[in-house]
Amino acid sequence: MEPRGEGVELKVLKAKGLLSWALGFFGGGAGITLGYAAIQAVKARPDFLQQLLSGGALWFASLVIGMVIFRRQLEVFNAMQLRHVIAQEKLAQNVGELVTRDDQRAREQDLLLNHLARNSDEILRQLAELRNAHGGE
Amino acid sequence: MAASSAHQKRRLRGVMLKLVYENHEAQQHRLDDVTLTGVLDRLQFDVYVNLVREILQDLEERGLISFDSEKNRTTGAHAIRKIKITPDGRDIIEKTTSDPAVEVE
Repeated sequence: MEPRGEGVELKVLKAKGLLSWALGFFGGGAGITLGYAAIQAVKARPDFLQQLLSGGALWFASLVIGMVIFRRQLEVFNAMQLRHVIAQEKLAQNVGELVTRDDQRAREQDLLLNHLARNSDEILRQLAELRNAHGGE
Repeated sequence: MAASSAHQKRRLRGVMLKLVYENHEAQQHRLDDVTLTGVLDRLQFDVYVNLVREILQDLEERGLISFDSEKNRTTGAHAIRKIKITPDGRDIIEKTTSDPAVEVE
């Protein structure tokens, strides 16, 4: 039996993957457009470059890029953790089934031995009675 | 042994009642249908869980045993747990009384 929610979680991951590709596509396009516009603006007014560099825009851009990279890594890490948890659940389930099966087998064996031992006693008792009835032959 | 005829069912009733009695005497955990089927299978009876359930229900209707019935929501099957022998059942095994429908050796 599969752990509950595994299929749903994989579907969500797939949908998330498609969405992130779409966002990446649009984000990349917007970045290229902005970069091209910035280059054109710097070409037209070179004095803007100094303002851009001293205004902290580069730091902000680095922070945004860093956050995007961190988010990607976090998603990979989360997916790995999810697989790890599912594998642990399956392992625990299998071990549990194994232990239950062994317990069941031992219990059946126990009951069988008890029954056979009692039957054996009864047979010996009846054999002794038969011998006595036939004059101890 | 193919457990289908009336005689075979009488024999099975006796053996099952005896197993429940012996388990009670040994003060072990109470039996269930699957464990009983396993033991009967090891005793070379040709049984399956549904046949064992049928015979257990039969023994209960005769007032020889009592048990808890539990419905499985996945399969719809009624599992039988915590089988107890009644004083009437003990009397049959101890041969204080007899029942032609239960063959005890």
